[in-house]
Amino acid sequence: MSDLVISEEFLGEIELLQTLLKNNVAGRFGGNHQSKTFGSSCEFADYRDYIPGDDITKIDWNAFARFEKLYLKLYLDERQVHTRIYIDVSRSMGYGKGHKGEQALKLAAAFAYISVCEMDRVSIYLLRDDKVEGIIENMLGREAYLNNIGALNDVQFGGDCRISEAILPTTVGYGDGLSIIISDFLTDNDYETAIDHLCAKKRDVLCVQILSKEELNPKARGKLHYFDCENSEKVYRKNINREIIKAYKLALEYATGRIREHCHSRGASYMLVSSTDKLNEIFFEKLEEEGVLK
Amino acid sequence: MSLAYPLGFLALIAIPVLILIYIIKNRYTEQTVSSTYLWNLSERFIKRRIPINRITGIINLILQILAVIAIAIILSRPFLIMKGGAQTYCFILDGSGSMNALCTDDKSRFEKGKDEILKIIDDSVKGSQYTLIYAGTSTETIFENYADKDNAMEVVRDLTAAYSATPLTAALSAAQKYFTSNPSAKTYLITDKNFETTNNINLVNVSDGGENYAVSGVEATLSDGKLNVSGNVSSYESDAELTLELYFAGEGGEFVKDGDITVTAAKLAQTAFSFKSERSDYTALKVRVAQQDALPLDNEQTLFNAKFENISKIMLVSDTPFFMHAALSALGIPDDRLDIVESEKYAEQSGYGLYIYENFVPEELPREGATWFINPPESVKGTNFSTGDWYFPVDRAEFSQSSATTTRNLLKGIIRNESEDFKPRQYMKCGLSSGGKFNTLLSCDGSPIIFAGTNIYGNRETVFAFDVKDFALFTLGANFSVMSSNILTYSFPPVVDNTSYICGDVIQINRIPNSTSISIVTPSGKNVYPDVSSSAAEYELEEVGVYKITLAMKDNSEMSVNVYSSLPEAERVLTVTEKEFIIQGTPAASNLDGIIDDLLILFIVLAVLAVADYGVYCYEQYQLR
Repeated sequence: MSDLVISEEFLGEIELLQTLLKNNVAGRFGGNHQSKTFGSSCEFADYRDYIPGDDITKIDWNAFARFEKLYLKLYLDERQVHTRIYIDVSRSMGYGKGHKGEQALKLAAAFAYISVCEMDRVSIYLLRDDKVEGIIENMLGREAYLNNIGALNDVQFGGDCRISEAILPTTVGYGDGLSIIISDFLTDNDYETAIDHLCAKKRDVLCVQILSKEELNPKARGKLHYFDCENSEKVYRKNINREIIKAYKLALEYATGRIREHCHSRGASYMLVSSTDKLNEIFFEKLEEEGVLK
Repeated sequence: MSLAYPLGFLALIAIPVLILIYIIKNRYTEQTVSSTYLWNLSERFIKRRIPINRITGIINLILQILAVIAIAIILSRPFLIMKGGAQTYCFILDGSGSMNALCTDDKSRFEKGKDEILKIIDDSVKGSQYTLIYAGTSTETIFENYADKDNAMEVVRDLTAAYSATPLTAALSAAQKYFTSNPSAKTYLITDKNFETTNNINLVNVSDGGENYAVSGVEATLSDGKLNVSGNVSSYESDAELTLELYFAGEGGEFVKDGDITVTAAKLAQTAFSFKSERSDYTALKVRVAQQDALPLDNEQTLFNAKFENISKIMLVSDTPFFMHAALSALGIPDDRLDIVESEKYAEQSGYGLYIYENFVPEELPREGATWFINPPESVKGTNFSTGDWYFPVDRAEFSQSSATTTRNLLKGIIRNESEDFKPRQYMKCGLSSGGKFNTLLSCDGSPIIFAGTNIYGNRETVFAFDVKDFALFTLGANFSVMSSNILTYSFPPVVDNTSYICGDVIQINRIPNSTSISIVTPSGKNVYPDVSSSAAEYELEEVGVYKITLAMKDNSEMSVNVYSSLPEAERVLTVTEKEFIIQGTPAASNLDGIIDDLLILFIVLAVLAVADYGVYCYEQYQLR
């Protein structure tokens, strides 16, 4: 596989982006993400009556002078989250020139960069068959990013991918950040359970569905005999005409609708991208529209 | 359904070729894709198709095969046969002279007859057969059992009426013969005659009445130095008072009216008329009836002066011409056609029809014209004879007994009287070359003394091997006069014997000396070139009017003669009732198979629709891409 090419300029641009987490953050101390609990950050949150035993250094003496009553100053808590990125590396993602896998790896690298810039920990996993392979785990800081991200260049695509079977047995954390699943989701296998599981763990979930240009808008006509690259027993043999194309587009709508509806029903985010879409468009338009980044 | 050109189905060979191409070109293209998930999922969204739509995959092939089949059918010209729909028709069309008479609608009877035939053919069912017997100048079967309706009509349209008197007997026998072999045939007789009795005939009478006047027997005689033009006029339908006009041909050939007379013509009787003209001579004259009638063809008659129709001149070279001059005058040669030249003044001459050399021979033989050598003093190159010594006769001179046609013609009218002392004072023994094809007319002691043949130029020559003045007993006798006249006719024949003929006559056109070819311009302007291989050409006059006969001469000059051909007397009567026209036999009722070949249009329409449909299909395929 060729080396990933993400320009420094682009990385500089996305450095300013922030992930918007919907759930209450329950990560480690020292991060950049505000928690719903009060902590020790510099950002003022509220006052409360002094209760004996409280740290007297947090009493607001100015308020005491005005009201002659002891009030304690409360500050917002900031936590470090753990962004987990799952990449479908089945054969269907890596088949053909300019394949979906390249786009998936680029997206993973970009998401990882945004997270490390927010002082979050990042793990990147590969979904192969019914297993999750950690390729980069607990990466923290830009230096670690630059040292480790090259591992994506060594990713090999092949085999099948059963998302739920792979994710459910693994540790996914609880309420400590964003889980991103990047796949074409062109399967009858169960992926909904995985999404449900992640949501149940109070994690923010983003499903990125990558489809190739030919899959989004097929140009082929005439008598064709298609073999599935993952399973040669799966074939499709038809004289492709206007009627078939019409049906295909309905099927596409159904397949994308299925995951989109499921994600939205669980409060998860969903994004459909083409393998040829530019990263700028994806990050500065689509993801902002979806409310994943700001 | 039958096929006119079954070989057209050879085009079907294209079908297996098409199928082969279809099989080769329409194989499924195999391709591996990242996922067939969406494609297989799309099966759920395909609308249930009606069974006919299953052929859409091969619609391309089906349309192409349909187009090939349609083209093959078009090429093979299909037609349907309907039992018992068609008939056999036999038409007898009278094309005699009277059929040229005009009807009240200004159409000739012949044209009306043709219209009747065309209508019958047009109304008949396709597959019918047509036979046409045409009684024109001669009776002939124009077509027999012809099945092509359009062509049959085309042939009928091209027919023209003749001018001669044509009895329908030959047509009847031809129709009888046809009916015997085709007893179911419907026979139509299209004529202007009525018949008291007919059998197995559908008589279509196209006569339309009308008056007819005719001029005939016009001749001109000189009486007291003035011309007397006489002839007969007839009215065939009723008594009539007719105005006759006399015209003379002017210098330019156009006719100028000289006078007119009124004659009361009794019905069906020939009434004589006579014009007294102040003129003493004419080249051509015409007498015509001023009144209009149904048949204008016989309303006038033109008479050409035979004297002006044979205009070649004669040259007599003699120092003592009085005897021959008198002899030629006695033979009717006028002085203006005779040029007499003394031997000393003779130079090479040309342009004469006959050269007579008496006691003289030219240094060189004229290349054109006939020659007479009377007592030639010496031989001349090219004459095919040579002069010899003089002899005194021992025995009496004798006319030839040869039965050869030329000899008999030349001695026609000779009285062979052996009791006369029939000897020349002396005669010359001549040597005759076989190339001259000489005919001896008179011989003495076995040696020819009057003989006729041809010179090396093919011109006729006659030799008198004695001095005519020394044989006075003979030369002054009747036999010499008769024989000279025959020799003159032989040497200098008129182009035609007469200038007035009846349509249908065969005229004899003599090849006069020096002529190379003959052409005839008919009254309708048609050019005819009769066979000139013999000394006289024969030609049958088929039209009414003036025929111009032109002889091309060796010196590139031309000689023209006009003759007039008039309508036969029998064709001038416009209302004729004949006794019977009977075809023997019992008619059969069987019909032929009718044919409909308009199917072709249907197939063409289908082919066009198939091709158009295919075009639409291709367009749709193109739009999808």
